[in-house]
Amino acid sequence: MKLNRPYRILTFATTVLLLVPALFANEIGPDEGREILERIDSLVSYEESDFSAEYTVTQERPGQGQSRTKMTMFRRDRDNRYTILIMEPAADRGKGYVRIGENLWLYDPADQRFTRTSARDRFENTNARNSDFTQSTLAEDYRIVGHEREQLGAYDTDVYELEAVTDDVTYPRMRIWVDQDGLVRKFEDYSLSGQHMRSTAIPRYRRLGDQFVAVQIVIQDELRGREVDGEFRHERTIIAVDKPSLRDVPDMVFTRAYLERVSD
Amino acid sequence: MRVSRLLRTVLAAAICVSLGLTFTPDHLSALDEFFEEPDPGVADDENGDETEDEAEDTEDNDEPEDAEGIDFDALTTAPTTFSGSVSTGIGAAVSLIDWPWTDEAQARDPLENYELAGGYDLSASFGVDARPGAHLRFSARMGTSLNPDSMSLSAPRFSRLFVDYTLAESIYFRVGRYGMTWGQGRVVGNPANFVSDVSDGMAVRAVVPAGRGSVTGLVYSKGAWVSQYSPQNPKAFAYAGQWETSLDAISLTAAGWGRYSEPLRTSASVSGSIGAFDLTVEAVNRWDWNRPFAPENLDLRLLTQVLWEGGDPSWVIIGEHLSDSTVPSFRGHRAGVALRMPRFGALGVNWRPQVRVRHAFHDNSGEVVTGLTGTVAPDLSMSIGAPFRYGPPGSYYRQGDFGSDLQDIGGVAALGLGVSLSFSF
Repeated sequence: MKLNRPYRILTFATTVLLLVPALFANEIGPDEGREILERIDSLVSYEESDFSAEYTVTQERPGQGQSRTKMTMFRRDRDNRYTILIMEPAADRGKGYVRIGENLWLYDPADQRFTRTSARDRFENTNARNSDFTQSTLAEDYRIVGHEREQLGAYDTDVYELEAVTDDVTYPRMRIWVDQDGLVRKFEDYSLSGQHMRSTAIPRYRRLGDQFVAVQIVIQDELRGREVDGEFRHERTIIAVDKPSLRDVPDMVFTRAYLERVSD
Repeated sequence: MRVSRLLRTVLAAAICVSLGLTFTPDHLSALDEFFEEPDPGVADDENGDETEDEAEDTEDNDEPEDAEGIDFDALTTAPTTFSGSVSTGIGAAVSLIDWPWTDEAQARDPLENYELAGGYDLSASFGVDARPGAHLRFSARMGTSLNPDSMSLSAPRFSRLFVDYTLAESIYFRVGRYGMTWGQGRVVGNPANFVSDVSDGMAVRAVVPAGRGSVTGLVYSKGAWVSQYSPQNPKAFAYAGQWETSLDAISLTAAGWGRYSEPLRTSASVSGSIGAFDLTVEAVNRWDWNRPFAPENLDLRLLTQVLWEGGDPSWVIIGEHLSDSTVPSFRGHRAGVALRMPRFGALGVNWRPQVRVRHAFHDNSGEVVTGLTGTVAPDLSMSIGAPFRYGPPGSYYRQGDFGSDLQDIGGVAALGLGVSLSFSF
């Protein structure tokens, strides 16, 4: 019944391997956790100014080619407002979203009406969500339930496991990789059952004063993809951000009338 | 000895599982390839110990980027553009006139209970859009369509012709012919859409931002009204207004419509979210001052809408209930559900399935419409529709044709196939 020596060593090594991350994981209290998340939010939130930029969203579907959506985004985080104008493809030009408070409206010029929609919805049939383009509210929506350190390529990162404290979020669990500047470099979204839904990488930021703008974002759908040349490839959405600015935006831009005015 | 072997096997399997859980390829490799090099966008400030010169350089570098920004005027100013769209299609359908077990069906020859129909259409439109200044825009679109009975094209008609003017970046005017939609109903009717006939005439609309919303004023007239009164007579016009605002997670809308000799129409709606659901309640009333105020004279409609978006891939489900006080004995209820389902691939085509179910409680009639639409080749789409309906002849959902792609097709059930080519330039 006794285990021979190699098995005992292997068993011990495995146990150590499994316990090491737990030993190094730090317990973070609720207040400290909230402070950490508030700092992360503050670097990419623009409470003192307006924000505008052009976004190019490229959807890669393995074996089915690419589609591209170009849009112009205006944000006023202090009022919880944003406006998105779809510029390309030509068939969708003129469509737009306006968010006022917690209310999100979609304007479709084809039937000349505004319909209420949800920020949970996929953005224009890509793997991005409407919520991916809005103010970061990690501190409001999540609490930290786990922490460890990890090397992410060139970055020393703190990896936080987050659990939602509200039902208003798309994903109830997340893991975020935060670099030493406090910028989220990567995050993974999980369902309530622990199913890994999406991974998102943010390889590039641009600095605007004291704030940062994510200018390259890659979203990988962990559930959808296709086998190509014998290898499974995930669907990916690549977001490139151009012309980011913190200049003031006219009040009129954050109204439903503005969408009608600029639409075709 | 046997136990020992079994234990070894179990241990070996457990070790493999443990190692597999700890080092899953997913954990190691999901998008990590993007982080092999540090981000140059923030590299200068990474240590936070830059010199003043470096700081100035950074600011200097930021300024041109920031100054670039979005050109607001370019969004509302553009050279004059001309555009057009063409659509042509062909379709065939077989329909069942009455359900076979009914007296109406048994009174006729079984073959006569089926109807075959085919048709084709052609329509084209041309437009011009000029935005000479950020505050000015002119847009017009004119279209024509084929009349298959006479093989002639209809007289070209302006579907829109308007001028936009924005005063002081705050008051927005639109003058001319155009369409617009008010109200929240999407499945069982939209009783608050007081302005559905605006596109039949000419209108002046002004929109003023007001707090976290806006106020809209609208005046319009149509040919029939002007021929009844003179064009200068205020009685020849309809007057409407709408106020909408957002209070945190709730949006409120109130609207009114009035015209000489017609009952005043008013509506009020409130929308908000409860958990994963968006809920809207809208009340619409016609105020006929010539009738005594009594419950039986009420002309009230109450729409309740529940919308759910979710799933992966995404589903949209809209459920609606409409209560109509004009149907006696409080039996005026209609309910419906519409589903927008994810696309799926079959026969090399990416199909979009749609389902809509509606039921009228006062006469137990209803309809179920199922359909598939897919793009089979560039600019070429195919649609398959299979609607059916039930209820006594002449009941609420058994009147007229099936609409949409099955116009002029009546009966209780149908199967239609259509192919259409459409493109814009």
